[in-house]
Amino acid sequence: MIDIRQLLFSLSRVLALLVLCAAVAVVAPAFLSSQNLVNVLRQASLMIILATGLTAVILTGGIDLSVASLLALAACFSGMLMTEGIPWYLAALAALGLTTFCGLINGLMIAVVRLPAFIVTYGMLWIAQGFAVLVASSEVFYGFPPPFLFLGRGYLFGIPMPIVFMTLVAAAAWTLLHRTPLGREIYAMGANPDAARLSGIDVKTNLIKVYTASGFLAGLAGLILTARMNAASAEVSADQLLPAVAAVVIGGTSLFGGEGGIRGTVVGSLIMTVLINGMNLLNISPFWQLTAQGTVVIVAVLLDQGARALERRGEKRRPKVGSRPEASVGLPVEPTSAVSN
Amino acid sequence: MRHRRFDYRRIPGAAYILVAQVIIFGLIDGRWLSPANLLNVAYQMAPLLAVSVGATVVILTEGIDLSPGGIIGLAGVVAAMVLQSDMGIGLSILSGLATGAAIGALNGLVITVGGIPPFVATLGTLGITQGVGLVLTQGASVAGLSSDFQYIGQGIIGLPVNFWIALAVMALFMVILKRTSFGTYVYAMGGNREATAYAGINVKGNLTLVYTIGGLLSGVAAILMAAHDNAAHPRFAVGIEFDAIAAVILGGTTFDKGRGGLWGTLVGVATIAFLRNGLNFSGMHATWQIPVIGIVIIGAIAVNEMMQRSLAREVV
Amino acid sequence: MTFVTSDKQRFLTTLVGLVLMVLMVAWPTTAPAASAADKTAPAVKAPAPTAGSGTVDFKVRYANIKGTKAPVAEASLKADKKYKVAFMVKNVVNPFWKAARKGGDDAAAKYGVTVAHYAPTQADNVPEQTRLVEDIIVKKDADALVWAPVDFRAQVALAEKANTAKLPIFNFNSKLAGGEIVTFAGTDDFAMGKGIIDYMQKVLNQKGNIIILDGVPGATTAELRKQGMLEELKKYPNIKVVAHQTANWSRAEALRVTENLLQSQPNVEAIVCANDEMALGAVAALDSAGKAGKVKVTGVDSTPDALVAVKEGKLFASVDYSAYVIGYKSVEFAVRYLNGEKIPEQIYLVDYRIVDKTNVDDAIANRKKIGVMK
Repeated sequence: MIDIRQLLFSLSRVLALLVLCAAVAVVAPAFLSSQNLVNVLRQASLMIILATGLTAVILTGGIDLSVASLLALAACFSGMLMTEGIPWYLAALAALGLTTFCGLINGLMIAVVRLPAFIVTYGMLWIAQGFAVLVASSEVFYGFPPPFLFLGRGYLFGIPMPIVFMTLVAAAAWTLLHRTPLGREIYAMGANPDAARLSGIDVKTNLIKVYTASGFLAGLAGLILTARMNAASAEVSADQLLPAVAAVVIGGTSLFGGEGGIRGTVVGSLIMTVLINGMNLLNISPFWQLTAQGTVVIVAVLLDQGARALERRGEKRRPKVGSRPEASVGLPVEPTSAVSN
Repeated sequence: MRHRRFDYRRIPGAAYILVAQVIIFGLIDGRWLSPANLLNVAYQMAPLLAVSVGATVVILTEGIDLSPGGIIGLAGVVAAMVLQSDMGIGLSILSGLATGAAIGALNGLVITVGGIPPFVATLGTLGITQGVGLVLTQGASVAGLSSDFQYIGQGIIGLPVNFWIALAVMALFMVILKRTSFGTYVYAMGGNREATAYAGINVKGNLTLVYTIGGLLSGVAAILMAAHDNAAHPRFAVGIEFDAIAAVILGGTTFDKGRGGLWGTLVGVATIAFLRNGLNFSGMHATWQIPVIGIVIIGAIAVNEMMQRSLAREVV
Repeated sequence: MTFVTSDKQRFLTTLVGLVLMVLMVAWPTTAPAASAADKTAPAVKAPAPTAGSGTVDFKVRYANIKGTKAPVAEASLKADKKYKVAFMVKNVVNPFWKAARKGGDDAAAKYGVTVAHYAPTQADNVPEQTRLVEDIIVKKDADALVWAPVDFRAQVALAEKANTAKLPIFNFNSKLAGGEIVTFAGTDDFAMGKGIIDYMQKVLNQKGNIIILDGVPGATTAELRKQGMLEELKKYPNIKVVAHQTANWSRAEALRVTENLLQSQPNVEAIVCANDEMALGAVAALDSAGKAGKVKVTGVDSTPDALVAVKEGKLFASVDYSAYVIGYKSVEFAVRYLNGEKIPEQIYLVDYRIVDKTNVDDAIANRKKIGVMK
């Protein structure tokens, strides 16, 4: 049942993406060149990797505001280690380990100590950014070993590495969410947390898993960006968080939790990237880019509502009973005394 | 109706952090408690307080508002531009407030009529307002405003004028929340929106009003900031919405039971403002301040949750 | 729960949504795009041009130096007391400030004063930097303020507050547009902008297509460099600016912007960037597109990374000037002023030069000597 609805949602969004591509292609024919399309995919890949972790988190009804800072932390930590002469693979592993660990901490605080995700990840945003700045100590690290650079600049069977990573991550996430029990549990936790817990799902462990995964993916994104730029500094986190969140939201993942998925996130990221690509091609002032990003968020969700209306024609709307309030998004809900904690 | 006996656990956890901060920072450097510095903190606290009042009302209705950063930017720029065109302080303030209210209303309509979740709608508005502001000023700031206007942001009557304004706004909304039917509706919509709708209350209208208020208060904050800094720029208030939401949550406001309110928010705002000011005053370098801020935020919420949880256990 | 809205309303909003999406892409093309004849927005009072500093009018006043002592030779300069100098920069992420800070620290060590470093936790955050300065004024424990304001126009009021509190300002890097300062140390960004174009026009034989990447709009250095470039370009009508965008001083943004611009403007001879970070981002984009070395990229700052790139032939040239000296000199001026000396020059502009393959080794040696490069 969920699959069919999800298909409809992603179709409406794919339609929106195609309309956008068509509009851009008309005013900027260079858009359709194969090199440009590859560029768009490559630019979107970083956002998609970040947004995939976010999707899993939002599906459980939470949020992870720290992903951009974790990206910067991975970049600076690996950059610093490589500059100190540590072999690139050890540096990369260490950076990934660090951000995964931070994700784990997020998960523990949210699942075990049961602090609201919004505040915990906001705090982690500061902590991770702080450590990134400390590690970088106002430097830009540069000049990394060629094998490391391959991660961001290399080609595998003619496909740029960032796109390879993006595809692997998205495919793995989709499989996990739709073909494994863990995935079903994640959806269930978001849709109705009380019912999920009562039906025996180990909510705590699953929450820890998704936040840890989010931390891992943020680290991966950081490494790929560092490899692409052959440089690392603490400022790479700027303007990364909100577009990633927007991509997830445009993609139709509901903040209710329990609805949406990776396909939508990929389409949402592509919509955002195509928009900016189009504006660069047309040499449009970047001030309009922020406006456009904001508008597309609202417009895309409007379209989603329209698609739902189409699907539900004639059906009477039934409110979800017992689901967590939509806007909670990791904000604190009064501990229910009815169901003892 | 629960009997409200005074229970120390009802005090938001942030209050304890606040007291701890005052003690620690005061010990590190006695001058931190000097009237001159406390005045300073009050100046710095005023805009955040205004925005947080709006955020409290929104969160009480189970909503969220991510747009204050952008609204303040745009409203500030509009007010500053009106002032620079010599159209008078009154018109300038009015235009700033009107801009804020208009965008807040837009938020409300998109949410109620468009059926879009508040998170999404306000995320979109955040981008749009910042973008429009940047287009208006082409990325530059608007500076050199008149000295009369500065009084709002820099004058002192015992306490800074802008702080009085923020306090007045807070007091006004305390009254509105506790004594008007609108206030009741706010708590009702947060507690159980369906029941409220079935009870015949115009949920759409009231909710739109809630977001309009949020926008209006962002406009107030914009005026306070522009008057204090004597300048406005679309990106001056970037990130303030997160601080405001954090302040509201640290102050103990939660959804569902519609518990919480503006006193808690005041404590939350003070905690954050004192923290930033205290860290600066102690001479801690910016590089170290960043992780410390994160740790304190998490610490504060942990204390908060412990308190609330032990409270909930008693209530059956 | 979302709202129960009638299906008809939903259809209408969907239709509106689709129309908006198409308009959104098409409409901005009719709005004023970033053009070579960019001017500041009319709402911001357009200042009158002053010779040599571009078209930004600096109404900054230079303090009346009441000092009576004759300036002592630099080698024997020592502070009368252990003065406290507050050193305020724009952020903790850009390496440029590190070099300036090192200069300040070395000068402080030599002359016997202490330096306290300040920067906003959120990079380039104006209200935060304003609060920091306000705190310093309240604390009253700085004898001098060495300051690079994030927003040279918006923070004029703050400068005047410092003036009222009798805190002497030693402005560097971004000259304030008002208020009273004791000295300004920095670069002549307008001249640098002209200089890089003057250098490139010879390389390009006065013709060709170029792309310009600007710094953060509204920042002094960004604005002045842009104006300098555009001013010099007027002399060479056969050099066309086919694209002119901002990459906000950021390498990652420049990478993306250049990648995209190369698609719509495949025939480009050079990319002139307002700083090295953006230039290196452009270089990375060219690498991806297989055009490394075929398009000449220039930057400003001569950071270690950029110098290595010049040596390797990836970056064509960069403007070299010493951030270290700027920081050093600012602290030196503060010491002299506090000692009561008569400061002979209140505007100190460091020399700049264009570094390319011919003199890059010298620039690298220089940096190593100061200690900002390994």
